[in-house]
Amino acid sequence: MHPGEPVIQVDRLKRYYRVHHRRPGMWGALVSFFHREYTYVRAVDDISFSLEAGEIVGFLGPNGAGKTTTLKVLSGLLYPTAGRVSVLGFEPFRREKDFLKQITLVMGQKNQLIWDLPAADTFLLNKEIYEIPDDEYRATLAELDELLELGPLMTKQVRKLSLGERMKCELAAALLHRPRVLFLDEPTIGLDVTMQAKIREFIAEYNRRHGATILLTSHYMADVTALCERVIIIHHGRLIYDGPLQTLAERTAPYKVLTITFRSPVPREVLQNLGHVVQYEALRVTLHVPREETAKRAAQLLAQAQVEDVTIEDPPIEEVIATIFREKEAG
Amino acid sequence: MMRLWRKLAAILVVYWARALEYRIVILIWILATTVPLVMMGVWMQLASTGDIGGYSRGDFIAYYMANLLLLHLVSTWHGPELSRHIRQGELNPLLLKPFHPLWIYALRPLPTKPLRLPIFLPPIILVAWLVPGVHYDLRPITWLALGIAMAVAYAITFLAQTALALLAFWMAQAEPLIVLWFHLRMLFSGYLVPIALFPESVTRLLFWLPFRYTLSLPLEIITGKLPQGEWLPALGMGLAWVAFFYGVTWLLWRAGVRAYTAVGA
Repeated sequence: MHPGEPVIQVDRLKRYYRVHHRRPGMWGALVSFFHREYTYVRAVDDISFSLEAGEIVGFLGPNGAGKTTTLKVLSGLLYPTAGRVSVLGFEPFRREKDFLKQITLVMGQKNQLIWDLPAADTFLLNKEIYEIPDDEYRATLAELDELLELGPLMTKQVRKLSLGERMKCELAAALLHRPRVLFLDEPTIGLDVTMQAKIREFIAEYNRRHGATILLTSHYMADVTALCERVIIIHHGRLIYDGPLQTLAERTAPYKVLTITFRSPVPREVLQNLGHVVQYEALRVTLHVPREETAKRAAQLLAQAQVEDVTIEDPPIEEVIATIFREKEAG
Repeated sequence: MMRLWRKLAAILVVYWARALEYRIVILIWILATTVPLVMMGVWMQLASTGDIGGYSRGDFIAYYMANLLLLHLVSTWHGPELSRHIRQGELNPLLLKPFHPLWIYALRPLPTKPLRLPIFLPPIILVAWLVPGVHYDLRPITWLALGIAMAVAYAITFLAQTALALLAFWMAQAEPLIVLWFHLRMLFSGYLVPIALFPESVTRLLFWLPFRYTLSLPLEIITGKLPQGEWLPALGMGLAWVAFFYGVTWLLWRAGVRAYTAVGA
């Protein structure tokens, strides 16, 4: 890898799958036996982006958007249909040893831990497979133990661990070789709120300590807002946004959210002249107002009604992204 | 090289620990494999009036008792699992490691092998000691030839099953092919019937096919049924089959990982 070169470089990546279709029922099965129908699914369709060293980037999109496929191409599991991919100066699909020693892919629902043994056994196996020297292994394990509070979990059979405990051990197994690039696919899926927060803190701390580059997919926006300054959004395999999380709302949601508490009730008709009424209770109202007219409408409101409190915010990020997907679906 | 040995040793240690987790299952599985005992009973009865195809009653006992242990030592049944791992994307974690995944499949069954010895070896020794006419060739040179023949047998069994399982990169169901291989092996490897008892044309044909080298050859060597002068050509043919299946496996793997769809989350 040349100095100054991005750690991850994706250039016009395409990955198509051939999918077999058949009608349900016995007749469908019989027809399919003699005549197979296939279509091509464009899981990833001509996307380009790059990540610099030490960045944590959120990779977002609805189910089936192509996020996991992209991560699998980047980690070398899948061969690209077209386009160029480079990670740390390597072509991932070649799966060279020096490349695999510097990356990791953590999938929330698939695991590498040996189910019937304590996680410590998988750690020892990884130590040899990744050729980690004894001193470095001890130091890394101690650090992971400190950050993830592994303690007694390491000596318990993996199948006896709770989902959250298992995820902690999965992360430890995936990071023992101190990878420089982390691909995290839904690392907090299915975990309770406390455990989600712990995993998030851990990821942030790992990034701070080791300067690792992290590409993360998650359906939990709390993961993304806590960890990522930049997000890449894909939909139907195509890239639709790549930029700061903060400006996503400005660029894509044409409104701001006014939450107002009144001293006395205000008729709905009055509020409808100021903006779109989203929530209307006796003294508390939520309005969507055009972004460029926010100041003007807020001033009108203050002049027309007795206001006790008012807040002006960007719409929640979940809502912004949901709006983007809805618009894309509608064409 | 040292690093490779350390890795192989680590895999063996971990899967030894895993094998011990399944102690009851292993015992049941071992004891369930009683077909050679049934066959032994049948042939003992038939040979009570005289030799059959050069096998005396004692030869049949020696053959099937050794068969009971050797089959366990040289066999693997990883094919269906590998094929399922390919189809369901469970190969992913192994593909991400800087180590060839097939090493794991090749080494995983080995730690359970020594667990067979305390179960099968005492009865074999006891029968050889107590029953007249039961002989084994126990010269040092035979042990060497037996060791090579067993390694060849395991290698062919492993590689042939692997090659068939790798078809799962393209096919929805590779298991039926593995089952077909299994049945052909059971029939022509000497598991059910010593291959010397087949018609001569079949026995001659079996010299050129892989099945004999997956079980019969080590049995023929340890029971002294194969003259020493014929060891080398037989081992040579076995090694040729190892090379063949290695080549096929290598080609299928290379093409297969390109076609891999890594399904699942």
